[in-house]
Amino acid sequence: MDAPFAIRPLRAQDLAAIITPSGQGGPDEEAFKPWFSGQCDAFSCGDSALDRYLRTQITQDLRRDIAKPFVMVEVATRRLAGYYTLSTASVRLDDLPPDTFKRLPRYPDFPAVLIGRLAIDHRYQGRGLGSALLIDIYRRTKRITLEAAVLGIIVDATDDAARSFYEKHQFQRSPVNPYRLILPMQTIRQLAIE
Amino acid sequence: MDAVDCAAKEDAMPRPRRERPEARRQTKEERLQVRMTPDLKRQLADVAQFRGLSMSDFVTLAISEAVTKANHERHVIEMSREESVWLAELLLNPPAPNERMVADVERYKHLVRP
Repeated sequence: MDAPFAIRPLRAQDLAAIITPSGQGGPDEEAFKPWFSGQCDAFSCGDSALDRYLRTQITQDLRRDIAKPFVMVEVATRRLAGYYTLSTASVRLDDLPPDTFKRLPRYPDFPAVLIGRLAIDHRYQGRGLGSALLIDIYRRTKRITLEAAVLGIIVDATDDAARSFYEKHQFQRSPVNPYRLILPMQTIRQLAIE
Repeated sequence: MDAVDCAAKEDAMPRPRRERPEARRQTKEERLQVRMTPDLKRQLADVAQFRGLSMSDFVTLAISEAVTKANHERHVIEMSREESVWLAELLLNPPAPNERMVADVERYKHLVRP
């Protein structure tokens, strides 16, 4: 049996096969726009800022290449179950003690993947779909590392609930910025996903 | 060195003549004094006049544009020494995936189409 959800980049051509009635895809700019606007109106995750972002900003950020949005769709109902956005970030390290530095690659800046936003609609919460979005992010990050060095995944949590979500998933809390969390690439690399 | 005072009114809407005292308290006006070379100030006066703006308005506008740009670019994360050492140690000793993470991967394969 096919898995119930699909996660795709927020682009008409990537979503066509999932959201068009025939499931055949095709020239679907026209089908995509009303679908997405209807899904945005129905979406509610419990954090109004994340709902608002979806309605007002996500397509703008996509167009201006500030963040790459990905959406999770329940295939049977064509409903938007969740979304996340990714960007790349560079971490600029202060001078490290020489003995520590010796064991690390000497990049001036450490490249990282940044989770901008991540949300699951209330109708789909409590089923581990947030974890599924994270695994999807690990999968994409792992693919990026085939082409470019990435030290890991960074997120600046907006509140305690978000922070504990990431901590439950083994993100490590910065001692300096208590809402900044990082999961090293080496941890992700050990997972059986491609 | 010359100086320019930039005033930034948080609420640029015209205020009614008579305000309630609590409303007035919420109107914030911040000042920033910056020093610059006489040459830069001459150029500033020149371009501000060309654009039909006061020097203060010109500088405030320029700051606002720069702040917006910096915010878009803030994907550069500067780490202090303490945070850098923490990150270095984390990268050198990454945690192994725990059981939950391994289970999440298996669940993912059943939940999400490739």
